[in-house]
Amino acid sequence: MNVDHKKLLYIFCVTLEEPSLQSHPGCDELFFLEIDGLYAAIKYVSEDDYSEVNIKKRLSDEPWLDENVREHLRVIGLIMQVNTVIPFNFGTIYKSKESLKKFVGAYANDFKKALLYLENKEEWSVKAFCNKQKIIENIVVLSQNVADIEAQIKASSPGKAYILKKKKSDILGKEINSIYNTISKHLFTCMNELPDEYRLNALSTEKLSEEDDDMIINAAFLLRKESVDTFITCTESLIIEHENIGLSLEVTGPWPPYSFINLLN
Amino acid sequence: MQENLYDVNKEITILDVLDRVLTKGVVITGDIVISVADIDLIYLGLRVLLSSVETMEKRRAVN
Repeated sequence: MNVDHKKLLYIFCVTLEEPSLQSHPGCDELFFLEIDGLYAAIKYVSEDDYSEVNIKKRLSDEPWLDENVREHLRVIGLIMQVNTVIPFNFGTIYKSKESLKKFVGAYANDFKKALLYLENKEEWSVKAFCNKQKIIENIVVLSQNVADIEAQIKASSPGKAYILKKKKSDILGKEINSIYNTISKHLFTCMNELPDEYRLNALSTEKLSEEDDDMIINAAFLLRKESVDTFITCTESLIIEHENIGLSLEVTGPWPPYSFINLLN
Repeated sequence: MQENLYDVNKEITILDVLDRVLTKGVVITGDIVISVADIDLIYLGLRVLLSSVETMEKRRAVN
């Protein structure tokens, strides 16, 4: 693609200082535009990809989307290594430097306040899963209601035991949900001791793997950098502590602080 | 996989990335932005991609 055809401005993030990224490969096209004491990390992109009409087509091109979304995150990640950032959403385009300057300039004070607040902090994601099969295996220990029915079954005639088993089967789903609620509150309380802020995201109900797991927490935490190691150690302890429910945690980060940009909302 | 992204126990999937870079963050009025309707279409389209990723990589470490 001829560089001359790249007329649109793609913005990755803004920072308070101009990042020095010369040593990083793959950022040749990236440059920084100073706007009212802020630096916008931008590159020129082609209308073939990012015009209003063409981007709609590109979004259904999965390999293109995968490559460019990851590139968006990669570039912001590189800048995050040296500066606090306010990340922009994927595919935010300005038609000219003047247009970009107008927008960033209008909100410069809000951006600066947010950048100062986010300094020395990182966003971490935690998704917690329980293994339903494991919970059923240990249900007598985990649910007093089921334990009581089990005791009655053992002491009952075959006929009455049959009815009680059906009753047990009927309440099982409700009991598992109750266990999920109890465990998720406990996990969240433990994990939320260190972070400055948190955001709870919607739980995914889709089966993303063959394992019989249910998501019980989907959260983002804003942590001071010096607290990150302790936070991760805490999550590891929780996994060991909750072996009987097959707890697994997906802990990922540091993400650009997408969940904690509290401006312009 | 992001080299700079510390990953405790899993691969970063495209869905993980999209959940952040499309739906959160500053409410921006760029000259061109991806609309909410387009975002919905992306997620619908990704069902196929997600399935194929599932068969290639283990998404989560068993603890």
